[in-house]
Amino acid sequence: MIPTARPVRSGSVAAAGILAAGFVLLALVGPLVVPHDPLAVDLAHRFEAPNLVHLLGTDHLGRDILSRLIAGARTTLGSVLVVLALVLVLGLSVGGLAGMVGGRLDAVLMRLCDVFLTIPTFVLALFMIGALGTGLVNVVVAIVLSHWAWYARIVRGLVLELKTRDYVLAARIAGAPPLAIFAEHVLPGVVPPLAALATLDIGHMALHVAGLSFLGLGVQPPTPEWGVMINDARAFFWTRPLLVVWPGLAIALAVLGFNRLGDALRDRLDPALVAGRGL
Amino acid sequence: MSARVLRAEGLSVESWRDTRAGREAVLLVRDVSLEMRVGEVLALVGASGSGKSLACAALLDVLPPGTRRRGGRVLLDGAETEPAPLRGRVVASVLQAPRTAFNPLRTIADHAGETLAVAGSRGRVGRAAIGRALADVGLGDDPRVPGLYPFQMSGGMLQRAMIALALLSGAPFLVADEPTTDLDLVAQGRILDLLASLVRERGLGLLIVTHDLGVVARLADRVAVMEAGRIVEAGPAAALFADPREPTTRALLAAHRALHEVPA
Repeated sequence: MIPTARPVRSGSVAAAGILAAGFVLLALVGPLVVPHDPLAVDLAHRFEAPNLVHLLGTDHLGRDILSRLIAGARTTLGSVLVVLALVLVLGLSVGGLAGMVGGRLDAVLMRLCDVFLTIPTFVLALFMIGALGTGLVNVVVAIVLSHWAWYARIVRGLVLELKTRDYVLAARIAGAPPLAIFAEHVLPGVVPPLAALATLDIGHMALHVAGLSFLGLGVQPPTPEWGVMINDARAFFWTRPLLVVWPGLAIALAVLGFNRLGDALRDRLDPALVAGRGL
Repeated sequence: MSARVLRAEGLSVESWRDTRAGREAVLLVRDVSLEMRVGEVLALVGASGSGKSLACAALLDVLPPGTRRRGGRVLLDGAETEPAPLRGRVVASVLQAPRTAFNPLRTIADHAGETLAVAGSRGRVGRAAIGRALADVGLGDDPRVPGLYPFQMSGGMLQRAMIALALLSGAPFLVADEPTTDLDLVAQGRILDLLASLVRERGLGLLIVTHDLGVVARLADRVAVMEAGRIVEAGPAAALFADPREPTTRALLAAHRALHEVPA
């Protein structure tokens, strides 16, 4: 194909990688490195400007903002990780089954996917929360339900394509059982594009978690979460705009980091897509 | 290596097209019967599109999408059997294009492991068997071969590796669908010699699909000629070359001679 695809700018990819890795690290070791208890209320030190004790200042209850941001990384990225794991398992099994078996089962599963694809995340989340109440678990379930079908479709498409390869036929003729063929010859071709897609989606899903929490539907105060923090700070926006800026910046940087990383991964792992983009 | 004779009777393969009147079946292979015997080479010849490959696929029930088997049965030593359990256990296969028949992400040893898993052996016994099979096909000199990826090998080497996998399976019968088409003349000759020696020394039963009558003359004990989905003529190879009865066979022979014999 014509090698005119957008070249991978290694500098910005490295920056994105460091950014993403930094957030993951914060989510992992957050509770060990927070300078203050993110839940500790200190009404004597409300609305403090950034200083040496509170590097990013304090909020309307005197809680340390930096500590809350670090703790929030775990809430947001942790729930995104759970969402991704569930989505990947669902997508791989449904898409893999539909692609490998084909026929009626394929038709039924894909119509099911179509149904789920028609429901926007926020609408589904509102429905779930209306029916089952607010909370992070419901938000996670809502995001999983509205995303798995994309993955199932992509997996099915890749499986259908890989199934026509001669080496899959050769394995069939050699008597390999379908599950072994899937694991040996189909899965290795499915994983790289899926990994790229999943990385791209981390930012997207983090936005959903933060967005729903901002609306008061997901994570509930006082649990530190970026969307919740923005919602808390909304009331003081005109007098203390920095309170909105910090969690907003955290969300923006996290989404940016994972998006760029996903983009770079896709360029590397999905040659067909890169070639297509060049046209 | 217990089985002696593998016989396919009355194999038919159909495709279908949708018309206004409903589904209309199109017969691609009609009533084809083939008999493979251990220690013998049966050649299936015919022009492109005559249904040779489909007939072989029908034998193992690995037909491509959009086609299906209609009728026919497979007999192993006279007992009727399902095609699926034959794959890899009774019948091994060598495909036409070695370049695409190997997964580019897997080494030769990985592919061999898969074959061994079907045969039910693993571990050290398996590794020794891999070494022996590779040596049998002339790839034993280089100890790196099992660790090579398909793109690191030439077409001839890959075709040898595929034959090694077939040997590794321990299946008494081998179906080779145009095994030399993608190779240069030198490699072709070597692969054919290898196949001939395996039939002679190991008593393999070989079904070789080809449109090259040179291959037939070199290897085959018996020949079946296909035309438009059916077998039009079958018999010992010598008789067929000496006294071709069907116009199809004569045409194939004439075409072959025109191509390969220098005019006097």
